[in-house]
Amino acid sequence: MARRPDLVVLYNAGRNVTAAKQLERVGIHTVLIDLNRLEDLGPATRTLGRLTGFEVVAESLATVLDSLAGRPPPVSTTSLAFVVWDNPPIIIGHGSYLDQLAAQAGARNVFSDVAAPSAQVSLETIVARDPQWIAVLSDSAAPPGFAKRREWRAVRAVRDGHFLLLPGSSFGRPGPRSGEAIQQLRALLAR
Amino acid sequence: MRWALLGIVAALALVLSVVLGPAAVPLGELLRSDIVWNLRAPRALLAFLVGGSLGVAGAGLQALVRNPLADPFLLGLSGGAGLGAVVAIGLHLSGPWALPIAAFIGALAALGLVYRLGLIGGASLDPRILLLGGVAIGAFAAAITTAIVSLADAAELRNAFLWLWGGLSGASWDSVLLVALYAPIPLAVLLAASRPLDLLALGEESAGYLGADVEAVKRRVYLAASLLTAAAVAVSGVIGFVGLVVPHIARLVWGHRHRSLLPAAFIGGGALLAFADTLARTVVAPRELPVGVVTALIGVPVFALLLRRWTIA
Repeated sequence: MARRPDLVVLYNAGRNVTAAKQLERVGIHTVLIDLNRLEDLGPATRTLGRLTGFEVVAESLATVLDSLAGRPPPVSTTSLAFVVWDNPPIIIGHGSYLDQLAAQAGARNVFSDVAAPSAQVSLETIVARDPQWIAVLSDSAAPPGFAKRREWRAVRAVRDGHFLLLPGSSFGRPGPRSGEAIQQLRALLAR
Repeated sequence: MRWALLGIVAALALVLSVVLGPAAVPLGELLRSDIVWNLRAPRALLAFLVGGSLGVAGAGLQALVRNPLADPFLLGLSGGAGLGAVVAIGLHLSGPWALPIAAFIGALAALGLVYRLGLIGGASLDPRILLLGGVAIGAFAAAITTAIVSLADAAELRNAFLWLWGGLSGASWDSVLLVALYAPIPLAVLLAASRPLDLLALGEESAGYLGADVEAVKRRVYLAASLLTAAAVAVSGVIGFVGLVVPHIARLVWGHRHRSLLPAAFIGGGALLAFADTLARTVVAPRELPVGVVTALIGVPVFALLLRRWTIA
């Protein structure tokens, strides 16, 4: 409030809904944006374009982003599991944009039957589903710390060192760079 | 008969935790399965050792402070362990044992502070101050942990809370071996204190008249129970209710004599945690519930029944 912004953009979740109501009550224009899946990108871009006076540019970008989400995915030739935390193991499910990025890059997320964006699973479930790759969000070139843990060595992809290290700037959230992220993932899978 | 029944329950809990799991392993392949040998078997054993340790620590502490609501985690160890874990993540300490070691050090630091507070009135360790000090140190450590997590950019720090909520995902033969080598020492100290703990139930003065070295017993029991809990929290996070409920159930069946009560609390705690972990892994498969949620779901109704029984009695 002290900075008196013309517009506040909030991610549509949890306490942000209450915060948006409070900000509106004191006269600060606030918008809540859904940004969980690739199909949210186009509408979010149009909303921001309308609110900032860049409707034409926004529409152009939104059309590209809509096509990204609407494109039928290629036939998957490999499988992966996104591991976002190792103890307890937290994986990415169908509800996340990362599941879509994998599909668009030609990989099958072995946890796409999990409806939630992310979920805690047993390590033995990862072993049983036997992904060819373990994808982790990391800006480092070194394998994740859990690669050295004895219990994680039960996962074949971990034993084989099949890690996909995905930079946070491209993969950390859905956005205009998601198209670029798909290209990067495709290139990593083709190594 | 009671011991045989407890043994059967414990064996059943261990067998179920090895046979059942989210991945389908045919019965005929159980003995050859990597999933069973490398994941389920160490996890089942670790659950048993941790549950048993928490059960014994709870029984010892309840006798020490003569308070039926005493729980191993009331002594501030969970707060200290959580702070240690968050600091380890924040400092990017690497290595497979960085987190458990940091949590253990955090728990030991909390133990030391609470112990020092317990001596605040002089040379005599005051159990009431121990409890109050534990709550205060735990809350203080939890507040610092929350401040670090909320101010830090690293997303992984938020995930530290997931670890702290408790779970046995990190179980391996290494962690089983570590606990199996470590736990017998504080367990033996507690078992050796069985007779003085029985006497403490009569009050410190009476216990002294009857030959117990009250101050030495209080220190030994507090340190042994805390060291057991610190090890448990280091390998499995904070798993509530086992240390609270199991001693009460064991007391109902085995009475107040600690020579029987402590072994019963160990086997009962081990069986309960092994069983709870099997449920956590299987009921919502392929997803998994935090095991602390399952122990609370089992423990709260049992505790409510016990409270009802006491109230009626």
